Amino acid sequence: MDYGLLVMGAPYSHSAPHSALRFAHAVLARGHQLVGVFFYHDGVHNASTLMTPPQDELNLRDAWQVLHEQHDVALDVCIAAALRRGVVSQSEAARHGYDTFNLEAPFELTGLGQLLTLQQRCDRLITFAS
Amino acid sequence: MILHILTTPPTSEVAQQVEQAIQAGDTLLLTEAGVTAALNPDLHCWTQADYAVFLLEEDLVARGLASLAASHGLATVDIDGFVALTEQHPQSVTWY
Repeated sequence: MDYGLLVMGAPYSHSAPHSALRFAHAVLARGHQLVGVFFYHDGVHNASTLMTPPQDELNLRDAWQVLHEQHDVALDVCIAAALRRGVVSQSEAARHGYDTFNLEAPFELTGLGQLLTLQQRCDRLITFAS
Repeated sequence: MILHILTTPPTSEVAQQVEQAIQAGDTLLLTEAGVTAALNPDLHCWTQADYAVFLLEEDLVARGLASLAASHGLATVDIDGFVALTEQHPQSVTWY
């Protein structure tokens, strides 16, 4: 089956991202395809390149990136939710005159339409929220 | 048949809403803080027979409740079983 995940919880504040990541690996282990993960609401913080947890703790952004590199999972981030929360790509930073940015590939800023596309494309869309 | 995924404790308002929304034949999966329902085997979700209820094993272990759930004879699934439940249910709702 084709699976999609919707992640709406912030890393290190809520269980949702950890739950979603464990679920993602279990989906793949059972032979399904994980088409994409859509990060919405506080879930957009999962994409921040500036997150710096202690070295003996899981870096969630890196964990999502590994998922993308090994299984070609799309990592889409809601642009409206992200900009509100200070998660910006290089092009958005330039547009708004910021010196720095904290979202880069394989994460991509996209619109809500991408969530609908993911839902329509997948047999299952599972929500992880807190 | 809907898979209801509850992430909040049984005392939460959300948990009460699930009680109202769930239909006979549905399945309830308790995850994250939802697994604290294992503390009270007298809760309605454990005493009713209209729908199946499972606790997510990893979240029980994380909260030190695994042996308690086992002693109460409560049904559990691991994360692999969670995926299996989503295979069996075309629709799921996450309550949070």
